[in-house]
Amino acid sequence: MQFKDVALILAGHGSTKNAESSRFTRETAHRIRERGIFGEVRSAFWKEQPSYADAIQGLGAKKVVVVPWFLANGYFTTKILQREFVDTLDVECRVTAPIGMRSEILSHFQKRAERLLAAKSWKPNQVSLLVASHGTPLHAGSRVAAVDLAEQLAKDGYRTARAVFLEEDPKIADWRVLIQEGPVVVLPHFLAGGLHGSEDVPELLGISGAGEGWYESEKGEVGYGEPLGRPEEVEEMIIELAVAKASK
Amino acid sequence: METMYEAGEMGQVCWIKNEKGWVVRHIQDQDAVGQLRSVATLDELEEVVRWDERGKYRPLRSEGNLVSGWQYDANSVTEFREGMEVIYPGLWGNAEAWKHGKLKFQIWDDVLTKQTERVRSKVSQAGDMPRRVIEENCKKRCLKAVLWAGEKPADRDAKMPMLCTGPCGMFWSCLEG
Repeated sequence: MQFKDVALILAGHGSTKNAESSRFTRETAHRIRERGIFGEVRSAFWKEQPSYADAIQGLGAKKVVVVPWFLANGYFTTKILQREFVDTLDVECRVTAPIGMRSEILSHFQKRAERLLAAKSWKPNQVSLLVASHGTPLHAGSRVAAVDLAEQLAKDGYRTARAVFLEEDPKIADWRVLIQEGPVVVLPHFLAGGLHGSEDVPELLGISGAGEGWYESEKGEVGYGEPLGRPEEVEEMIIELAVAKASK
Repeated sequence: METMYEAGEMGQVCWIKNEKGWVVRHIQDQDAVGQLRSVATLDELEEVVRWDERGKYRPLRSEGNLVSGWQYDANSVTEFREGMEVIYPGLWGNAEAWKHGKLKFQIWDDVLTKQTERVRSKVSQAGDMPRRVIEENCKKRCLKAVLWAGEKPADRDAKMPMLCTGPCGMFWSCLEG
């Protein structure tokens, strides 16, 4: 299947401080480009170059499909991207759902939790699980996605499964108040490479690293999952989102 | 415009087309012979442009601190364009649009309406800070002409212009301190 008259843009956030923030977005764009499905493939960022506006201006295609490199239908996806990628006289823009809204996301989170449990030979009913997400008073979407994910994961039989947040209640920092005893698996609901998943959340949990594995914090044993977003994990999801939109 | 694909300069890089394809280098390495590190893939090229010579992250790829000592060989015009897209993301397209009189750029009032109330409030309290950021950050660090602040690109036909169409993440980062 080929869409030579369509350009694909992976629209991420990026960072002026963290070199890793856009790495996987850019690498994934290169991987998808090599497959020759779309006429052009670009990455674009809110905080890095190219900006969303510059990415559009450089395209030869008249039809653009934008896949949000975000996990939730939150502020950026529903407000910023919808505003930045509007149709012009020259270019028709279509924005898909963010990659985090794909149904496969649940299985990626389940696999992370299963790997952590297997490392200790534990069953789900021996641990609690937290989905650590951003949340923002600007938009409810971020919270909703994390809460839904936690509810889905709860069906696997954990002692409890809840969503916790950086900017909303319940706060990540209060994890030991919420889960008063026993080991806790924490799955970061952040895309890989960003500061939140690699620095902020581990710090709030009181653990010494951000790699997938078990850590001893002052407040107890924490199993930390790897943030989502490696190119090999998201490439197919992105192509399916883009192809579905381009086909309409 | 097509002649720019044969040989030219943009920012700190230069290129030339030969019988094998395109050779892209830092302008300091224009005449270097056989002493440059070969960069074969776009991911490798990303690594070259991601860091400055001290190994510090370069969030602003249009800053005049691109490292030298490498050579990217492109086998096709598509590979050449993608390479330029890695080195100076979005800027080739902007330059082409400019030369065709089609480049769109923002104006300050429109920029502000797109910001959150928090940022607008900060800007209104910042006095001439936006102007100072343009003078101290944009014009001194970045190689792009700040179109949205009234700057015009140097009129040099042999060089692809580097054009800034609106305040970037680095501008806002400096403005917010």
